[in-house]
Formats: sequence, structure tokens, C-alpha cells
Amino acid sequence: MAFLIPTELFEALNYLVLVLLIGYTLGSALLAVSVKSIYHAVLWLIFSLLGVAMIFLFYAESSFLLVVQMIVYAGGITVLMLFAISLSGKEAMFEKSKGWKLMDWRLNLAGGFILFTIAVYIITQVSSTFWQAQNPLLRPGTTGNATVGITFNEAEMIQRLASELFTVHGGTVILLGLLLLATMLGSVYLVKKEVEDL
Amino acid sequence: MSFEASIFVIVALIMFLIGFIGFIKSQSAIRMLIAVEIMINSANINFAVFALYNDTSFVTGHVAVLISISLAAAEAAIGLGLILSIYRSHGTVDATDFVELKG
Repeated sequence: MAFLIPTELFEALNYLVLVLLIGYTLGSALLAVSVKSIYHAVLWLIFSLLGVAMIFLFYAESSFLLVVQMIVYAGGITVLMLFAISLSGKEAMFEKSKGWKLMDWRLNLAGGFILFTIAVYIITQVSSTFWQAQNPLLRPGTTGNATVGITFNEAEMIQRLASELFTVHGGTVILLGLLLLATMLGSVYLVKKEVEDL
Repeated sequence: MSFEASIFVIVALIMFLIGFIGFIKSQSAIRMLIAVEIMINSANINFAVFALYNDTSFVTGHVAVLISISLAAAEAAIGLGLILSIYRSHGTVDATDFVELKG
């Protein structure tokens, strides 16, 4: 397969992407636990979760986990948190103690630029991955992992995941369903008002 | 793209430490929940990356991540329900003010 750029440069760029992605994920996680406003903390948590989703896609070779992470974590849990903050009044939005002073306008600008660059890269990569998956002619056949020597393709992996979820791990799936039912009932019981309050 | 798994172990370790320190340092109960989510995510990275090293059934690690994500969702729902319930009775979500069970 012919490359437009030299292999060494390609590997160096790969490392650069890895470093940027790790910096993005860890930096967002650090800001999530350090900014003063809890609202902003949840927004930084979303960025951090998206970074973890990208690690799932690029380095764990699983677009399925990327989708689950984005829907359940970045989409569901964070919205739940934002609702909880909104319902907990003004006091809940800020912590009593002053947060670590990390945010300056220059840092904001630099952080915004880096976030934008990474977001553009991630969007192009993800779209090209799915595009390749839908076009069999462009597909190399297998997406190999040179370090560990496993060769497989995405469709086969999803197939195996589906069959294992309902055969080997079937009991676990049923248990998880029961757990989530209990969670739903428990949280409704916790937040419901007493009858005399209504 | 494939790199040594040790890189991701270190990333997961740093992420876990960020979550752990955030959990200890924070006073708001909601931020504590955020820190716990970060810690769970660091464990998920390890599960997903180490799954590639399992020759016989590499999807087992992915199933573990799925279970972990479901448990985290359940934990967040119950945790936020508790926080709302406590806010209703105490008027605050500051964890240092919850001293009813203190001996």
C-alpha cells in the first residue's frame, strides 16, 4: 500500500495524535474536578468522556464501545447530572471553597484552539472509519493490531460480541436488567414527595 | 494504530489519581459523583485495551466495559436521587454538612 507521506512521518504523526488525545482526556478530567462552577465541571466531564470514547475507537479497536460511551455516558449521565444541579438550587452550582485558579483568558484561548483542532481531527477520523466500513471496496479486509498480532475485522467482532452477550454472558445481561429496574424504582422512591406534601 | 498497552495503563493510572484526589478534595456531593465517574472510566480504559491481548475471546473485555458502564449509570441515577433527596431535607448539597450519622 503506497503512502503519500513517509512512514517515519506517519508514525510521528500517530504519536502526536496519541499525545494530543491523552492530553485532551486528562486535561478535561483535571478541569472537571478543579473548576469552581459545578455546571462547568459537568461540561468538562463530557469532554473527558469523549476522549475516553476516542481511546476506545482508536486504540481498543471498538467502534461499538465508542457508540455506547457516547450515548450512555456523554449523553445520558451528564444530562442527568445537569438536571440534578438545576433542581438543587443556586447554592449547588458553586462550591464553597475557591477552586484552583487554572483559567486565564490566554489559557481559554489556547485550550479552545486545541479542542477545536482535536474535534475536527476526531470527526474526520470517525466519519472516514464508518465510511470505510460501509464501502467494501475501500476496506482492506482486516484491521490488524501489529503489537499483539490479532487480526480481525469490525463486523466479525460485533457478531461475536452479540453472540457472547446472549450465550456466555446471558445471565449477566439479565442481572443487569434487574439491577437497572431496581435502580429505577429506587430512584423514584428516593425523590418522590410524601403524599401529604402534594 | 497500535501502541504498547503500558501507555494506556499509565493514562488510566493518572486518570484514576485525578478522580481520587478530586473525590477527596471536593465538598460538593455532585462533584464527588463526577470524580467517581472519572475513576470508573479509567478502569474502563484498562478493560478495553487489555481485551486486545486475550487471544481466545477478545470481546470479553468489551462485555466487561459494557457491564461497567451499566453499573455506572445505575450508580449515577441512585446517587443523584440521594443528592436531591438530601437537598430537600437539608437545603444543601455540601457533603461536609451531612453530619447526621456522625458518632
